[in-house]
Amino acid sequence: MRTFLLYAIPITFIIVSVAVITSGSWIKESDEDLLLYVQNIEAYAKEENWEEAEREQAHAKVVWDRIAKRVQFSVPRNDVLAISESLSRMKGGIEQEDADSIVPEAYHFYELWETLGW
Amino acid sequence: MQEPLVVIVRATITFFVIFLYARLIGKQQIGNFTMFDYINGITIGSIAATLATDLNMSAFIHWLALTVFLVLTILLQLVGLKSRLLSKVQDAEPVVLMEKGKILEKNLQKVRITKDELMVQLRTKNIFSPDEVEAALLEPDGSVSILLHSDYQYVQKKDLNVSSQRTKLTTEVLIEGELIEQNLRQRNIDYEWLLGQLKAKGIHRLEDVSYAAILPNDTLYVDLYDDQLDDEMNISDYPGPY
Repeated sequence: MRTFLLYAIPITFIIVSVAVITSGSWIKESDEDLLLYVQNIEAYAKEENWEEAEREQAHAKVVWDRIAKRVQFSVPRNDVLAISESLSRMKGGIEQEDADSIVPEAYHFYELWETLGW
Repeated sequence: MQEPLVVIVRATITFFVIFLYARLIGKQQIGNFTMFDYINGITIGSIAATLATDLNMSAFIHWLALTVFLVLTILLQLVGLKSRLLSKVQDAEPVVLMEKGKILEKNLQKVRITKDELMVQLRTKNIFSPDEVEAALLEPDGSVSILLHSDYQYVQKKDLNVSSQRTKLTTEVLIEGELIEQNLRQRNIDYEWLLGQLKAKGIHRLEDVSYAAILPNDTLYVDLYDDQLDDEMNISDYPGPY
């Protein structure tokens, strides 16, 4: 039993550690679909439906705050901050009702989201 | 982002990863500390520090780098065991610095050691005259091994034809009041013998014993918690506290 534990504990530790520090890529998908909210923001901004765009942005912010707490152990801080900044810029664009700034920001977000955790 | 929490998690992972990896690398790292081992150790430490504290970098990348260093280190150790040639390539060979009391200047130049440094090495081994040296070798780990000229070597028991007994190790039998039965059996000694020895020294409770061991001459050494010493050996020259 002692020999078993001597090997089992370190192996389990390594497996759990690697799971914690590599979990970002799949844990980001485990909550509500943040990508869908941002796609909606982009679509509503193109239609100039600012009320809906604002609602989607607020949802996206809440969902991202939840996801950030889970992925922070496996994802570089810069990437987490970059997504927060991107969502904030979208909020600013919605307040100014400026679709020209929201669409490029949405594409920036798609790139950040795709590479998050990889 | 909760930076303190992330640092706690990453530092904990790093701590146990380096603990585990150090055990896997083994004792060779310390016992045979060549320049490569030294730089390798520093690099591993540096990667581990980044893994624990650099939140702007992916933890996995650093864990992977640590693991690569571990695997390569173990691979080099295994290669060294299997191939004598590659072992020499890794660690180099000892270099003779002095022979029959003479300094070998070419070899000193080759390993870039000055005569002053060589003399320091001799003096730290209590050799104050180069005449006393039969051979001095620079080992791959940077230390200098010295063989004394036979005129200056210590007299051994066998030189004097003095009979000698087989040397044994000191075996701990009681630590902090706890009996180590495995060690008692190893020295073929029973519990009653130990109690008898303690009673003869006026000790009636195992809990009073801080450390007890059977010495190479089969006698019992006992240290109690209560040392009953005065202040005679206090070398402090300032009242303190400091």
